Amino acid sequence: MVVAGIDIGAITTKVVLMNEQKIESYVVIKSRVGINQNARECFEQVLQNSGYQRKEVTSIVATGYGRINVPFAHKCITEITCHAKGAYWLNPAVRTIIDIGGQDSKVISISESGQVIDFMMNDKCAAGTGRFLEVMAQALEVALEDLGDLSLQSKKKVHISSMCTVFAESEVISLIADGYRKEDIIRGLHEAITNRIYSMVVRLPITDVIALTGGVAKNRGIILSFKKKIKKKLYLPPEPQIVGAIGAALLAHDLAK
Amino acid sequence: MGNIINSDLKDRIIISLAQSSFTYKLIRKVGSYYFRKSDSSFLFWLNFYTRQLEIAYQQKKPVVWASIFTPSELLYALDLIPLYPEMISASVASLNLADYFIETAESNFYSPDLCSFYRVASGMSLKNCLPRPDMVISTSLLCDGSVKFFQNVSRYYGCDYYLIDPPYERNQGSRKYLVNELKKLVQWVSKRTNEQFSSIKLRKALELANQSTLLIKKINQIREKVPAPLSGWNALAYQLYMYFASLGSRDGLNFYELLAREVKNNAIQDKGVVERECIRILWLHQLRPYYPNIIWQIMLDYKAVIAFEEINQVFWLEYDLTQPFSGLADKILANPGAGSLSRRISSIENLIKKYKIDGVIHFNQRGCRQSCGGASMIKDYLKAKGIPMFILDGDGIDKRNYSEGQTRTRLEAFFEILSQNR
Ligand code: SF4
Repeated sequence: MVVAGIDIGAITTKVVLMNEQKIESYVVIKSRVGINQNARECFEQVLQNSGYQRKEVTSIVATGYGRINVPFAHKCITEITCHAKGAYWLNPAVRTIIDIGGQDSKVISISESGQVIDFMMNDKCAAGTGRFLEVMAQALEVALEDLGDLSLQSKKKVHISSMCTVFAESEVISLIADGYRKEDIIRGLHEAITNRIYSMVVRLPITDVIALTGGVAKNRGIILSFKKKIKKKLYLPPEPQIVGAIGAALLAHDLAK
Repeated sequence: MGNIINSDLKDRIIISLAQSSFTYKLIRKVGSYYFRKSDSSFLFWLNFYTRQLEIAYQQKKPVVWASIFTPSELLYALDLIPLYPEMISASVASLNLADYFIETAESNFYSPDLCSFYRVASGMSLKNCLPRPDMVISTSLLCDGSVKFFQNVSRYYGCDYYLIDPPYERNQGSRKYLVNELKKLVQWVSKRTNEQFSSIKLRKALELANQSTLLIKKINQIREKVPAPLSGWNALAYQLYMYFASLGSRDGLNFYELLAREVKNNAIQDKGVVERECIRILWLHQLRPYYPNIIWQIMLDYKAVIAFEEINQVFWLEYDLTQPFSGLADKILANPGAGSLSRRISSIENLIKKYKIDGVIHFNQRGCRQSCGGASMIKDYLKAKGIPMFILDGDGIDKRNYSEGQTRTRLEAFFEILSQNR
C-alpha cells in the first residue's frame, strides 16, 4: 500500500512516500506562502522521484502548522503525534523526542508502545527555535548551515543572556563590536537554546534514549551542546527533518488498513 | 488630524452609548429577538444582566462594585445593586470590544501583565463607560490582583472601599474572625446608605440563596449523566455570571428553575451537548476565552465536551437562617481554591470521579497567579494517578495573547492523546 505523509512546517515542507512501511522517496523544500500550492508541488515532486502515480497513493496524512490547508489530505494529525510515531518507528528504544522546528520547539514523552504520554511546547515566542538561529546567522553574516561547524571551533565560552530574538540579536551585534569571535558567540547561542529547551525537557520524565529531530538537529554544535547538558544517549535520525512526515505516512498507512 | 477626529468621535459614541440606560433596554429588546431561539435560561440572563446595568445607571439604589467572590447574598440583603467588573469585562470581550478598553488602560500605565479582566474594567472606568459606584467591596479570596484593582477603583471614583480579607485556614478561629468582619461590613454599609440593617432581609436573601443552591446541586447531579446534558462551555459564560451575581435574589431562583428544567429535559431525552460524545473534560479555572476563538469547534471535532467545570461546584453548606453570618463566613472559607493546594486537588479528584472525566484542561489565564501557580503541581499529581492534564496558556479577554495555530496544535495533540487512550 502506497501512502504519503506531508509535514508543512513554518520554514520547510516535507513529503515522505512509503510503500508497505518502507520509505520510497522524500522531498524537503522551503515553505512558501500558499500552503496548498506548496504542498501540491512537494507531493508532485515526490511522486516524480519515486515513479508512482497519484492514483496509486491510497492515503495521505498532513501534519505541521499548515496541516489544515492541505485539501487533498485524508486526515490532519498534529506534529506531536506524528513525531512520536516517526521517531518510535525509526528507533523503538526512544522514549523522549526533542523536536526543534522553525517556529516552535517541543518535547514529547512516549510510552513503551510508542504512544504519546505528554508533551511540552515553547510559548508563543521564537526563543529556542530554528527561527532564532536564522536571525542570529543573519546578524553574524554566516550561512545557517555553517553555524554548527563554526561553533565546534570555539575556544572560549561566551554567555548570551537574552532569549528574546530581538534582544539577542542586538546582544550578538554588541559582542561582535566588542571583538568576540563569531565561533564563540555561536557556541553561546547554541547553549542558550539548549538551556531554554532543557527547561521543558525536565518537566517530563528524563528517559534513557532521547531523539533529537527537526532541522536544527542537523547542527553539530547544537548536538554537542545537548549531549553535554542532558548526559543521556541522543538518537539522531538519519534525516531529522522528515521524522514528522514519516510519522504522518505511517499514520496514513494505519488509517487505510 | 483625521485620526484624531475619528478617535474623538469613536470615544464620544462609545461613552454616550455606554452611559445611557436606554442602550441596555435596547440591547435587551434586540437581543431577545435576535436570540429568540436560544435557551430560555440564556434569555433570562440577558434580561437580568442588562436590567442590572440599566438600574445601576438610574441610581435608584446605591451601586456597589464587588469582586466575584464577594457573597452576593449579603449585597442583596443590604439592598445594593451589585456590579461585577470582571464579569462585565467578559461580556465586553464576547462582543469583541475589549481591545479598545485594553488600549485605554495600557496607555494610562496599567501593566500588560495585569490580568486582562481588570485591564478592561480599568479602561472602561477611565472612559466613563460603567455606572459609578457608591461604594466598593471586594475580597482577597483567591485573586490577589483584585485587592489593588478595587482599591484603585475606590480612589478613582472617590468612594469608600471595604476589603474582606479571609484567613488562610478554615477553622473555628478564622470563622469567628470573618463573622466579625462581615458584621462590621454591614455597619459600614448602613452608615453609607443611611439605612438600618434588616436581619429579615438577610434571612430572606439567604433563604433564596438556599433554594437556588439546592437547584444548582440538582443540576450538577444531573450533569453526571453521560452524554453531558449541559454545555460546560456555556456554563463558563452566562451561567457563571448568575452563579456569582444572582444568589440571594428572586431572579437567581427563577434562573436556576429554568436551567434545571432545561438540563432535566435534555437528560430525559438522552440529548447530549455533543453528538456521539467521546471525550469528557473537566475544565479548571473560573474562565475561558470570551472573544471569538476555535476551542469549542475543536472540541466538537473530537466529540469532546466539558462535562464539568471546577468553578460551578457547590462547596458550601445550606445556610442556617438562625446564624446567617456564620454561614456566609463559612462559604468564603470553604472555597476549595482557598488555603492549601491540597484542598483544590482533592476537590478536583472528586470531580474527576463523579463526572467520569477522561482528561483535565487547566486554562492558565495570563497574569492570574492564584490559579496558574498551582497548575503544574496539579498536573504532576494527576499524572501520577494516570489522569492526563493539559495546561492551556491563554487569555480570557486579551486576544493579543491568543494564537489560533498554537492553540489548535496543543489542544488537538491533547485530544489525540485522549483518543488513543480510549
Ligand atoms: S483570572 Fe485570576 S487574576 Fe484575573 S480576576 Fe480571575 S482570579 Fe483574578
